[in-house]
Amino acid sequence: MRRVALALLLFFLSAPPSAIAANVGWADLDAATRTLLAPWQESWERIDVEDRQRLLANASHWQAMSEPDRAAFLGRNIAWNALPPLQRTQRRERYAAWRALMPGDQARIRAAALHFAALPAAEQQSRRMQFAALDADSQRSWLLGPTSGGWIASVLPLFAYTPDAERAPTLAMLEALPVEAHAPLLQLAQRLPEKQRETLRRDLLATAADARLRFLQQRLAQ
Amino acid sequence: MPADSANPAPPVALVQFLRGIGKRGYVLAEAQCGEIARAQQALTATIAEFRDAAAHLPLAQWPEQFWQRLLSQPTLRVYTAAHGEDALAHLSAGPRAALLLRLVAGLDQTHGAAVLRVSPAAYRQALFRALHALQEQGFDEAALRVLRERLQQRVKALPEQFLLAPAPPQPAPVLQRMFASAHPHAPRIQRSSSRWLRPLLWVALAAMVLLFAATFVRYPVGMRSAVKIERLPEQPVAARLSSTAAALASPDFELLNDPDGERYASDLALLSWFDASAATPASPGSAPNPVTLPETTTPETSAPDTEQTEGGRPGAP
Repeated sequence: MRRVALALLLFFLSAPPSAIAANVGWADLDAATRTLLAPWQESWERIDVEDRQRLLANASHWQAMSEPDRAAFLGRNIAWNALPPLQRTQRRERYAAWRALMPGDQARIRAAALHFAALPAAEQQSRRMQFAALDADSQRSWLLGPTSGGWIASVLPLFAYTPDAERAPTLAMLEALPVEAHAPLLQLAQRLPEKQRETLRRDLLATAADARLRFLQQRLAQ
Repeated sequence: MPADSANPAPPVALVQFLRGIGKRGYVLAEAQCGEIARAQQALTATIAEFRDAAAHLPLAQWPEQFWQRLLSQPTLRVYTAAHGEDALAHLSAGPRAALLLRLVAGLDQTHGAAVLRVSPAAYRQALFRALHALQEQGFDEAALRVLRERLQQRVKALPEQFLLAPAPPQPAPVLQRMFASAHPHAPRIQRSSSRWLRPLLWVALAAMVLLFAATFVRYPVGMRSAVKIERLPEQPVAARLSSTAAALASPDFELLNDPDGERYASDLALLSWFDASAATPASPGSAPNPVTLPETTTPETSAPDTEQTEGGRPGAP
């Protein structure tokens, strides 16, 4: 698994939080929130804006929970903290990928989960083994969901010799290509020998995102 | 912005800008290439290029243009672990630059992407790759926080006059050299004091070595008895966060608050593949929509993916 936890991105690498949260002073909080966040009262003004924003959001969620929900949450938190760090990191990563899916893909995953659970145990095991037999990059690509994952899995072998430094931008470029560009790229890439395919990849990467579809259509028409 | 373009900033503004950004630029360069001399060389070249270009740029574009020029310096393309952060040695150049733009330059994703001239999605992906490589070295959130602190401390530790101070192996102060052509009559560094300064420094160094060596000499017996060890008074145990407060402070609050989503996420890749392949039962090792590879393509391997080399190794993006 090559992506990393959402938490890392959120708390270290995300864009600066909104100015609204940045300006919330302790005196601006309502009484219930102040009670909940009392441990941070003295240090409130010194807390990083990002952390302050997170605390406020979490407190808001907490206040909206019922007592049984809060108890269940605390139980999950205890179990979570008992997990090995690597396992927590992997689960954060998968959860971040889940949150990044479009609603349509999330619905497909929910339906697929029901379908999968209805399979006989032996077939479930067989499917898991088939998936485990895929190479690591292909397995990872399926974290993008059934739509993008299928597309990425199809084109990955065509760009197998991408230099390391360009792999991330290339993958991001492939992910961001509009659906209408998928077929032209596949047709082009399949008909080109390796060197020209690499040139195509570089040209595509150098093309503005909103011009890539037109670029591919023009190349296909040549 | 048009006003900025119409009225190029005066050299004073340029000097102030470089003073503000220069130390961060140096630390980023050092962390990017892992070598002091090459970092200095990159910064010197960057400032020279930037000095010429800045007069034609609006002030608002200065930071982006500065970082862009710095990261495009050829001397930063290769990493040497001798003086840099060892953890960064395992990152390839692109992801390392993306990470350092966040940790050292403090740029958000939009500006980081602009500096690297990639889309925000590509920049985000580069960050993912950098963090994953760090994670494989055992980095967690705490370790990343320490890394960020260490880099920022490095910035703070550099003297305020870092760019103006003569620092070996630089033969002349960076900024002075940069502005020498613009100000041909600028005062040169006075080196006449070096005749007596150098011996004085050697004497001071020798004295420090002697003092340091003296700390290893055991106290005479009579003196040892004068040393008393006193137990510090008991301190109350620091108040610990309640379970509720600890939950509120958890970086995983959102995940813990969404057990259904977390359950789907735990098998996300498998379920995506299963959903896409449900119509046509997949065979082991195949994608649901396999493509016909040209004859010149060698199938990719299933070897574990590492990011040790800068390019050319077979492997999908």
